[in-house]
This record gives sequence, structure tokens and C-alpha cells, in this order.
Amino acid sequence: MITEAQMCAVLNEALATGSDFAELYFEEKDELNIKCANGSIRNITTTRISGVGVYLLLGSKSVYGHTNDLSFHNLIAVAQQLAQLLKNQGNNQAKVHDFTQKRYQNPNRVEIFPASVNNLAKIKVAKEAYRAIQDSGIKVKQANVDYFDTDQRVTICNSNGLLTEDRRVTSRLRLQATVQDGQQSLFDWKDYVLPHGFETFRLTANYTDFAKQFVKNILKRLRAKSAPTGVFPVVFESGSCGTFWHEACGHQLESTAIAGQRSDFVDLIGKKVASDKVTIIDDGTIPGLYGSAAIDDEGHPTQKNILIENGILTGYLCDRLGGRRLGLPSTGSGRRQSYTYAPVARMTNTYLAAGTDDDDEMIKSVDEGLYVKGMGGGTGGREFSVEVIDGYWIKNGQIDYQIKGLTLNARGIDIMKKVDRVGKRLETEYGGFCGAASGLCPVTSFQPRMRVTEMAIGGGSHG
Amino acid sequence: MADLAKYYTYLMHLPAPIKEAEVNAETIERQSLIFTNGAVAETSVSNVTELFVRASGVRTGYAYTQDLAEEPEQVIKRAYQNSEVVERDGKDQLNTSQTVKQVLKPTQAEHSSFDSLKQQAQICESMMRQSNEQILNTTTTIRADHRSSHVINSNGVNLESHKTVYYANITVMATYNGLDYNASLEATATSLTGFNYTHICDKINNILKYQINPVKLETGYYKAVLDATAGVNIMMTAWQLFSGMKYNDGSSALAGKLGEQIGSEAFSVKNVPNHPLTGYTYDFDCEGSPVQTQTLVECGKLNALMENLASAGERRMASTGNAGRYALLSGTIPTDIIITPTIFYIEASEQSIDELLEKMGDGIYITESYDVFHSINIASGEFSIPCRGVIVKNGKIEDAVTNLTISGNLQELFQSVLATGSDLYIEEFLRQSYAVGSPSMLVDKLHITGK
Repeated sequence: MITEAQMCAVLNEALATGSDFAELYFEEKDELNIKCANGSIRNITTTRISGVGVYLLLGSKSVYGHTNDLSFHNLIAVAQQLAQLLKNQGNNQAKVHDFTQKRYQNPNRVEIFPASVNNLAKIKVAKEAYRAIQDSGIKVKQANVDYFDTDQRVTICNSNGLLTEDRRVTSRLRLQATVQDGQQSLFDWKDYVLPHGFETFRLTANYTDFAKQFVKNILKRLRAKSAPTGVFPVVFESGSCGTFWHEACGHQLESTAIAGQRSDFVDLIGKKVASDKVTIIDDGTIPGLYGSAAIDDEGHPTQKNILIENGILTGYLCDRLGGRRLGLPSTGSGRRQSYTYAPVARMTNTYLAAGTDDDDEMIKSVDEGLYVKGMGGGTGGREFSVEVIDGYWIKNGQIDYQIKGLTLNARGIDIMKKVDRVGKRLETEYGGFCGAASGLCPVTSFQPRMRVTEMAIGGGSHG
Repeated sequence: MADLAKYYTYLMHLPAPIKEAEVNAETIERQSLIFTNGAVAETSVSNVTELFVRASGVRTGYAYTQDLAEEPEQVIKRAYQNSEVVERDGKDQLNTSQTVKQVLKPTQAEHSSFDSLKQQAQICESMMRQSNEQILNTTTTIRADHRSSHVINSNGVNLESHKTVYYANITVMATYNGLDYNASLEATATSLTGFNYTHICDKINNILKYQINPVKLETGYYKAVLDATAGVNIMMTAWQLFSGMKYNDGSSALAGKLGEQIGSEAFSVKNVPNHPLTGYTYDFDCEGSPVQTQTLVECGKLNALMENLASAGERRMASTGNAGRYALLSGTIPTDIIITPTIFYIEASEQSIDELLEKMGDGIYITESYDVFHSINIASGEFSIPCRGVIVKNGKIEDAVTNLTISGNLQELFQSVLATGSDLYIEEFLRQSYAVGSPSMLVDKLHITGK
């Protein structure tokens, strides 16, 4: 790592042609991956990532460069090259303010850093998870358990004088299995992931029960029936069904979509965009959640952002550049997978706030409809889609039978107005990766149980 | 490009008990420009080298580093230490070669200036706006990637290649009857002036046009034409069916079906090292095996699979040059060697999209599909894909229909292909590690859930 004086020199070089802001983002990351295939350790890989991103702004224009040559002379050369791409004729050079070190507490506490644990202990975890799959009593054609741990250290300094850092540790088991039932097979994967160190695996039953349930659910889906076709009410269970909100409106509330006119929520702040039952929050400060961090990837402390309150649009998610383009402050949402991406506004932990409705009544009052218990991924945009991986048909207010996986799609701004029940019990989820312009970022999306009055359903087919 | 001389020297004198080792260096030098509504909004430059290392004693371990200051001894030792806890029998097979050094240079390797990228973006935006007065916003991305691959190993393999890939993407927003609509399309080329902007503009205008004033569609089975872009979206995931590894472990829906008819006579699939419709070209894979031209499916018959050294070894055949790492989206660096395509596509025929629509008569033209990665199960072959389209009557396009879901089984879909179009479209995978293509396809029967 270069010295503070050298950082200052690089920032000065970057500002030499008139940019009004410059930032350096240093990243060091160690990852370990252990692959347990069909019970034996097939591979083990250590990964070392090291690089720096150099970011220049001039009004609402930007230049970004990155390199994994961290030598001072190379960083000066990169800064000079970038400065030539963002010339501001006639303006005086902006000043690099003296650095003030700012320290923010990461909400995710780490007790046992991965590097302090012997690989044999990690192998034991992967094998126990695999054994749990085998002991589930399900006929598993093929199963892999991947153990991952990551330890990312970021240091950010900028021409405003900010100097700050964050350390983000995660531990993850990725389970993959193909389950056979007669002539039919079905593949699925699922992550057991927490933003903690090796203490994630302190209670064996937590991840072995998770692994057993994972393959049991695949078998259940293999035996499921297709859903009826038509327009029906849909009840979405608490927890991971929050993906609905991530895709239906989350991406459209990011400043990139708003400034690029790719959202139905442009110019609607203060306007009604959803039913009164809907309050949507994005909060990167919640302890124990995968999307939380001390700071965003621009050094701004993470914060709680209320995006929709009782159906009224109250804000957008902004990074520094997106905020400039919209005339809004940063919301601590500038995120990126690594130094190889410029930061853009991204979600962290996005959730539907708890309401006042009765969970049981939500299903009992449905004559015929869909109950979504588990969701896979999805796609955002004006029209969004989400993957139902654990769904059931409701008949006369009772869960009747399991349905095959299907995809639900709709226009976000329309469907949000059709939410007629929001339950009291807010439940979080493990989380996963969200892919967008700045790569894959860890997020969670969760909610209490909720109901949409009508959605078109059909085409259940993919297990 | 990283200087691998020190690694090469070390590989030639591996200390006991390390028996074999390999280094694969991948470097991307990138220039990128985003041009929004007549002005440059964002530019970026980068230069990153990744080193993928494997070392074997009795077994094989892996290491990865971006820290170019690390000594080869340290990195290779780390890989070797990882091998000591691996439990599978034997070590990875590495390529052997007597070749001293083979350097494969591109025919055109210019480093583009930002002015030349900007000029292309201006041309693209200008043509787009001239072609459609309803367009309010345009964003054009032009990117130049200078890619270098290097594979060296202790058996004497020393391969190096250099390529330049150009990428263009245009995204527009247009307003019709007070409502906003977006459309986007991308292309790659081997030269900066190699983009067909007329085609891109026509295609984007159709995507916009086919969204306006949608009507309700009754759920049911329809004859359908899948647009080339929808075909690409399906094959972007479905190529995994043709992975030798997945075939061997039973996790492909095509497992056990080599030599069988898995599609109609009109359905053929290829994987090739280069194609005039994409800027991507491949000489060798990440193990140093040359990339083969393969007809995987010929007139519906499953002929061959994509293989790396390990999967090919299981069936006692040669690698087809399909060893890769970046297969799907991942939040971590995928260091494991698996199977990836190079340029993978469904073969086109001579028929235009209009001829396909005329042949269909009445049915649905699926103009766009989305959600590439969550809609297909490779083990079962079942799919459920969100999309939009237009109703076709007597071969003529009528009303738009949106929020549709097409569903079924991939093998049934392949079997029901009546004809393919001449409009082969090839798109890069998001991680820029391979490209996937499809022409439009007329299918006999497709289940479509309407809204």
C-alpha cells in the first residue's frame, strides 16, 4: 500500500486538468474455496485480489480507471491518463484537502477471522453438510458442497480529505444437488451464508438441517403439480419473498435508472406509487445481514433509506455521481463488487416494513390462489420477473397442493398498488448476490407475509 | 501482459515434491466510453492481469493471484499446499507439447483512441435518432478490450494469444402516447468500424414498436416464432446441456442421449472458435488445448459434447478446447476449471423473419425475453421464461402482448423447431468469457401464459 503522502500526490495528479473530485479505492481480498464433490475434497483454491480504482468527477461526468499494479509510479501514470480524459479548460485545479481519518463500526461483528482457522476444520464443515444431504433419505444423483470464506479490506481516500476503511468478512456454503425421482431429475442450488467469520459454523445443526431441507425441497418440487392458469390472488410468505420488492421497484429506484429515464418512478417523489400498506426501506446498517457494511464503496457511512412510505414515493438510492445527476445527496448506496468496477447506486438490505394484518387470515380469506413460500432470483426493470421455487395452491382458504416452479412477471408500478395485506411478523433472510452495472453485490431482500389481490399465473414448469 | 519469464523458469525447475504445474495468465486492457444524449458522460480505462495457477504432487491444488509482485515460488507453493488436502484420486492431466513457444497475434491489434470510440458513439446515436423521432434519450456504450491469454506449464507448453474485441450497446427511451418505453441491443466486432448500426437501429425500433398498446392474450398453446434475441436468452443458459462434465455426472437433461435425436431436422447447434458476427475469437482454452469447430447437434441428432481434458479423459477422447472458468454469474473468482463454450449457436437457414411469420400464419411472435439466468433447469430441461411479443394473423403483425410466460421442456422445444431464420444474432455473455447465438425460430407448439 502506498503512503498517505503518495495517495495525496496521486489525487493531485488526477485533479490537474480540472476535475472537481478524485477518489482512490484500494481493495485487498483473500478468498478460500473448498470443493466437496460427492463426499470427497476435489479442489481447494486460495485467491488473492489486490488492486485500486481511480475515480474522477467533473460535474455529472466521470472517468474511472483501475489497475492491479499498485506501484506509486503506475498510479501516477493512471491518474495522468484519466485526467487527460476529463479536461476542464480554464478552471483552476481543485485542492486536495488534508486527510481526516474517519472510522465507522461495521455492523457485522467478526469473532473468528477465516485466516486464523486451519483448513481441516473448514473441510470438516463441508463434509458435514454433504453428509447431511446423504443422510436426508433422498435419492441424490449428484451433490456438491462448496465452502467459501472471504476477507475484504477496503481503504478509500478522496480529494475532500476523507480517509476511511472497512473490513468485510463472509462465510458461505453453496449446496448443489441433482435429485432423482423415477425418470425425472431436478437440479438446484442454495447458499447458507452469513456476514461473519468461522463462528458461522459453530452450531453444526444449523447448516446440516439447512442442507437436509434443501434436498427435501427439491424432491417435493419434483412431485409437484402444475399451477392452474388464470388471474388469482397471491400470498407471499415472510422472509426471502422480499425479492419481490427488490425486483418490482428496488432497481427502478436506483439513481442510474432514474437519471437514465429507464424507470416508471421518474419525477414521482411525493406521489402515490403503491397501496397504503406499502413502506419500502433499504438499510445497510442492520447487524447480521449480508447487505450491511460500515461504509459504502465511496466511503459514505451506510444508512437507513425510506424509499416508499405508506404508498408515497419518498426517495431514490443515490451514489455520489447519481446524486449529482439528480441534484440529490448520496444515500450511502455507492457499491461495487470490486475495484474493477466504478461505484453505482445499489441496494443493501431491502425490505417491506411490517404492517398490521393477520397472517392466517391472509390465506383463509382466499378462495383460490397462489401461496409463494420460497423464491429464487429475478430480474428488475419496468417489467420485472421473479422465480417461484416453492409454491402451493390455495383452495377454500387452505393450502391444497404443491405446484411446480414458475415465473411471475408484471409491471412493478402497477402490481404495488394491488397489495391489500401486510402482516406483522417481519422475517429476514440469508441473502445472496445482486448483479447489476457494478458487478455482484451482497444483498438481502425480506418482508413480512403479504398479499397481492391479483396476478396472472400459469406456465408452471421448471421444477 | 504479465511477464511470465520468471514463472516459466521456475516451472522448468520445479522443486520436489512438486511434479507438475501450470500458469494461465489472462490480461484485459480496456477502454470504455458511455455517450449520453450527445455528450460523453463516462469513460474508463483499466489494465488487470489474473494468474490462475495449479500445481500437482500426488494430487492437484489451485491458487489465484492478482498480486504481480508475488514470487512464483510463493504462488506455486500455495497451490501445491492446497493439493495436500485434496482427496480425489490422481492429479489433473496437463497438456503436453514440444512447442517451444507459439505466439498467436491478431490481424488487427490497434489501440483505439477515445476520440475514435466517441466518433462511433456519435454515429450510432445520430443514426438512432434519425431513424425514430419518438426517441427522447439514448445511451451508447463503446468498449475496446485488448485481451491476452498465456498458458505455460512444466511440460513445455508455452502459448500466447492477443485479441481485440469491440463492443457496442445502445439503450434508448422513447415516448408513445404519453408512455415511456425502453429498448436495448448490443453487438461485438473485430474492428471498431465493423458494427452494423443500420441493423441495430432497425432492431431497436422494432423492439419499441412491439411494446405499444398491448392487448390481453388468452393462455394456451400457440404456434410461435421466437425472435433471435429470445433464442439467445434461452441458449445463454441452455448451452450447459452440452457440457461433457454435466453429461458425465448426470446433471444435464441430455445425459445418456449421445447419438439420439434430441431435436427436429431443422435444429442444429455448433460451437466454433470464431464467427464473422462476433468480435470474439479463440485459439486455445485455459488448459492450452486448441479450440475445435464442432457440430454438437446435426439435424436434431446429438453428435458431440464440449469437453475439457478431465471430462474428455473420462470418455477416452481428446479435449475439444472448452476448458473455461467464467461460466455463469458468480460473486467470487471462479478458479476451478470447468467447461464453457466459445462461440455457441443454433445454425441459421435462408429464411427471413417475414418468411417465418408468413409460414406460421396465425400465432405469436415472441419479440423479447428477459431473466436469462433463473428460468431454466438444466437437469430437467424445464423452463418458464418471462417475455413479450406480438399477435400474428395471416403472417401479419397485429397487436402487442406483454407480461407473457413461455414454458415447457427444452427437448420438446428443440423437437418442435420447424424452421430457423437467416437472422443469426450473437451476444457476449455478461462476464465476457464466451458468446452465444441464435437465429429466429419457428416452433410448432409453445405454451404461453398471457395476461
